[in-house]
Amino acid sequence: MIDLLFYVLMSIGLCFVFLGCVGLLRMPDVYCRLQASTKCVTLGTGSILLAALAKTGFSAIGMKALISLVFLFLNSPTSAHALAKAADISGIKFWEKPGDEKIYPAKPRPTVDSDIE
Amino acid sequence: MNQLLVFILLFGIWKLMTWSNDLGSYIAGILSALFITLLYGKEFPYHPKHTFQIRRYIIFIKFLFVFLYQMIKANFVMAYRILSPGPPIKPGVVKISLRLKSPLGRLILANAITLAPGTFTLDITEDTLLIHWIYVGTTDPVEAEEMICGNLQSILKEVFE
Repeated sequence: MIDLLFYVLMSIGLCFVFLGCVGLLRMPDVYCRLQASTKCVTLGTGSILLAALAKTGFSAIGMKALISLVFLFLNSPTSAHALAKAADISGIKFWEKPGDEKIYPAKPRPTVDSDIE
Repeated sequence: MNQLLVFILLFGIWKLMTWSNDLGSYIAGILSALFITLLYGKEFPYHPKHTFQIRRYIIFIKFLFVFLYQMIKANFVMAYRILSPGPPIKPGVVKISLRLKSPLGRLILANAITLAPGTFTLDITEDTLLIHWIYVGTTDPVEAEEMICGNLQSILKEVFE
């Protein structure tokens, strides 16, 4: 039973991590790539860590996996946000489908120079 | 009181991580927890009135379930977007209003939005959130807030304020 749970969680995790990598290749610009990789990889890694917990039970390894899970959920979106904001500040353009109306910009973009001043 | 809470938290995490009963592990844990407590203990966001209200914890657990449901849904939506031909995306940036004041609440809201279906926190200012949306449904701020956050913001407001 525990083994079955382990295999199921591990397969789900590997599937989502794989999907995240495919998304990284298929999406058109850095923001969409971050969306794909952040969401899929967070759930995938979380699932793999849960699988480690299921396999080893509440031992040293299992507890480390559980704590890593909490910190993963706190840190992964934050680091993605930092990457996206850095891309935004350094002036990387938003991709848009040819022929669609413009949806951005919602605000004048800050530049690095104006931040320093 | 601040320092005591930080110390208990740090030492608890240390004990969970090492998961052993050696004397050495206790000594190392106490020393390092004490060191960090002396450095950063004062900055811990501690509210004397809020910490011991059970109601807040119950609402927070409810929030966790809403968040977990949103996250799993987000992954399936994203899997569909990645795998279908000519990715069905229409990316854009929308602005929604932010009414939370507490820093921890704002962090958790921003993280929840990043993991919610199709949205991504790009920037955060005093009273607005700038959100990158992979399939823009509407550009109206009020409708966008309803579609992106749902009731997450009001739940977090109850927990942290």
